[in-house]
Parts: sequence; C-alpha cells; structure tokens
Amino acid sequence: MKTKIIEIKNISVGYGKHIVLEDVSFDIYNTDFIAVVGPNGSGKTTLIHAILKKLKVKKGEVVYCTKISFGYVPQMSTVEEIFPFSVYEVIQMGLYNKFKFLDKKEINAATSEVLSYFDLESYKDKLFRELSGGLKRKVLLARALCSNPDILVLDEPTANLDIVSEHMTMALIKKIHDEKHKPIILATHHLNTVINYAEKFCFIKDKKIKMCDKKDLTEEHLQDLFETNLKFENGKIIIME
Amino acid sequence: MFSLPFIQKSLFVGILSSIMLSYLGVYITLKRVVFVGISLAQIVTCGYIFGLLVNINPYFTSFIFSLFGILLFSSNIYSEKIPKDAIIALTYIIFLSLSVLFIAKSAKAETHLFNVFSGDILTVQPQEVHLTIAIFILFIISQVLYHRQFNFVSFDPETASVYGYNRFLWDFVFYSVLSLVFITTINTTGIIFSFGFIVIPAMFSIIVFERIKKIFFFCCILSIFSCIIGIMLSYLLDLPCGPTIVVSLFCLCLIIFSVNKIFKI
Repeated sequence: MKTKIIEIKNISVGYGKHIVLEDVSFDIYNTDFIAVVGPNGSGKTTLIHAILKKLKVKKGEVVYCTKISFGYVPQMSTVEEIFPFSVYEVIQMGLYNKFKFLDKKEINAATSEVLSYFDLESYKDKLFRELSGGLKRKVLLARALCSNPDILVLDEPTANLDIVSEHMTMALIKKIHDEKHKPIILATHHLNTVINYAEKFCFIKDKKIKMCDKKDLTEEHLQDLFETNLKFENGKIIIME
Repeated sequence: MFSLPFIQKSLFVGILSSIMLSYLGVYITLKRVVFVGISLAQIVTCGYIFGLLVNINPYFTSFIFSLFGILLFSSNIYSEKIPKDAIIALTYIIFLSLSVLFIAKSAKAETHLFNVFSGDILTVQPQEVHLTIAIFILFIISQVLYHRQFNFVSFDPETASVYGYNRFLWDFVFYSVLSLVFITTINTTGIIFSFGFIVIPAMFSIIVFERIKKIFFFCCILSIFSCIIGIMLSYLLDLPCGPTIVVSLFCLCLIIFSVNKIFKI
C-alpha cells in the first residue's frame, strides 16, 4: 500500500548566508525510488542532508509522517579507508545504534544474513580498504541494510566507478528496492546511470527542483530542463551538438 | 634489581602509562591527528608548568588548560581560508612559547624542567601510582564500553552522524580520555615518554600488522617490553628514564620491523 512517509514543505536550505535550495516541496512515499539528479555543487547532498535532518532548514519543514529509521551510504570520500577494518567489522557498524547495546548473537545473525544476501561471504575477512571500488559500495550498501531500515538514502553510490561496476551497483540497488520493498533516495550527477533504474526523478537547477515520473521523462521535458538539444537512444540520453 | 620496591613501582606506572598512550596512539595515527595529540600534550605540559609558577596543584592547572585543548580540537575549527593544520600548529607554538615564558619566571619550574621533559619515573610517589591506576581503570572502562562506537565514528563520521552519533561529543570524549592520560603521564613519565608512546608503537604496529586487533595487541606488548628494557638500562647505566625507554622502544621496533621484512622476503 502506498503511504506517504516524508513531507518536504517549502524548505530553503544553505550554509551561512548562502542559500543552496529555495522553496523546495515534494513528498516521499514508501514505494518510491527517487533519483536526485543535478550537476556537481547543485545541492544534491544538501537536499539529502535536509531530508535526514542533518542540516537545519532556514525556511519550511521536513516532516516524518511516521517514526522512520534510515540506512545511509555516504560519498566514498568521507570514509576513512586507512582504518584496517574487515568487511565483517564494517557491516557490523550498521548495528551500532548510539548507546543501544545489542546482543552479540543478534549482531552476528544480522551480519551473516546481509553477507549472504549480498553474496559477500567469501570477502568477510578481507580488509575493506583492499576491495575494489564496486565491492566497497556493495559492503556499504550491506551495512546500510543490516539494521533493516525503513528507507535507504544513498549519496553518489556510483561516483568514480567504471561503467560495469556502475551498472552492477545500480542493479543491486534496484534489487533491494524490489525484493526488500525499501524506498530509496539516491543522489547522482549522471542521469544516464539511473535512468533505467529509478522511478521518479528530482532534478535540481538554479536552487529549485523539478519532480518527474519516469513515464513523463520525454525528450521535450529534458530539453526544456537542461536547455539543450538532446535525444533518447537505446535507453540513454545523448546530447546533440 | 626488579625486587627493589621503587623499580617495581616505576615499572608498574611505566607499563600502565605506555599501554594507554600507545593504544590511543593507534586512533590518533589512523585518524590523522598526530599533531593534535602532540599539541594537546603541549597544552597539558604548559598547564603543569603554570601550576608550578603560581603555586597551585599542577594536576589541577593542567586539567584546566586541557579543557581548552579538548574544546578546541573537538569543535569544528576550520575556515575556508585557513586549514585546520595551521590552527593546530598555532596552538602548539603558542603553548610552547607560554611554557618557556612560565619556566623563565619560575625558579621551581626551572628545577622541574628536566623532570618534565625526561620524566621522574624512578622516584614515582604512591599517590601518583594510585592516580595512574584510577586513570587506567577509567581508560579500560571507556574502551570496553565504547570501542565499537569510537571505531564507527572514526571510520565513517558522516554515516555515524546520520545514525545519531554526535561527532563533537565523541571527539570530546576521546580527547578528554587522551588529556587525562597526558595529565598523569607528563608528571610521572615526562613529555618525551608521552610523545614517543603516542607515535612510535602505533606507527610500527600499523606497518607490521594489518588487522586492528593485532595492531592494538602488538602496541601493548611493545609497551611492556620497552618499559622493562628501558627502566633496566636507565638503572644500570644511570641514564634519564623517559628518553631511555623511548630509545629502547624505537630500537625494539626497528628490530621487529627488520625481522618482519626479512621473514616476508
């Protein structure tokens, strides 16, 4: 059943006097797979931080309609990879909930379950820092899912990946959405990466957003949005000279 | 030699202090905040010397001074124009200068100067032993209860904050534990000992071992052996204790590093 879980009401967010997003409104439902798309520095991470209430909004409000828990995958650049933690140890971190002490058996059972779901059993003793870029994202996704959150928020989960790893990661995210029925909000600056996976698009441009369902994603719509001549070809967007 | 009570006391204090310092040194090295650790130690030292100058309990003044350092380094001090490193360096140089000025104006501090640097571990007093035990127990409790949380916040602060961890609070707790360790060690084992054990065991352990548990374990083993060797050499050769332990630690690390290299080849 489609239920509204987050309401974003006319929010304006920014840092100091600098406003990044102005008067943004949209709703997030429990069935959504939303891709937040925009160029570097457009405010994708700012919007995600506002949704997570990590960043105080200057105007408007973000309303959680029910008590919700988040699973989060950060940008890789914020992870201190120098720490020599194994894949198993990294995934377990998803269960370290503030001051709540979980039983060791509970932690091990939940970790083993996601290791199996993500087909990571053979990597569990390997060091996280020694994995390929694609596997690192897989481990961070597994960690985000470990605590069985209500919603997954992913900040540039495919940044700096080669094209094969990029699509494997996106296919895995889609699989989680379909099989585990988790709503997903994903930020990316490559529309082509998400165009075949996401179901809703949130385009950021000039401090404003434009929401669009996948079925409404037409050439005309995109041309109007990006103010450039482009066309769809084999499920990809090609910018015309 | 090891049957002498003062040697037993100094060994006990040396081993407990070095275990705490080297363990925290692993976090400091991996968090890339070695200079923060050194600056914090300098702030505590400055507080200690100030205590000698104004005739107030130096433990109390070093604690008050350390609060400034804890708040400064756990808060998000940065500017778009000046990197955090520059602020840490500024703090270090200011407190080093203040330390020298306090020493220049205090006859008592001047006579203590050598001990502050090289440590006075062989003449450690019963109350200092008790204080070291108390801080060690506090340190163990904090690590047993919260080492997982410390690991998470250090490894991925961004996600930790989404999961409800207050980064400022956790950094504050971490630097508070570190400051308390410095407050006890600077008076008993000296600055050189404190600086040495914050950097050397962690550095070599990280080079030799790949797993975090082995790194921590190896740091503790290194600390115990270097204290035994250092105190023995200091007693037999009549050398200042702190620097002798640190040089012993470094030599021990070099030997282990070389053996490890040869063995791997």
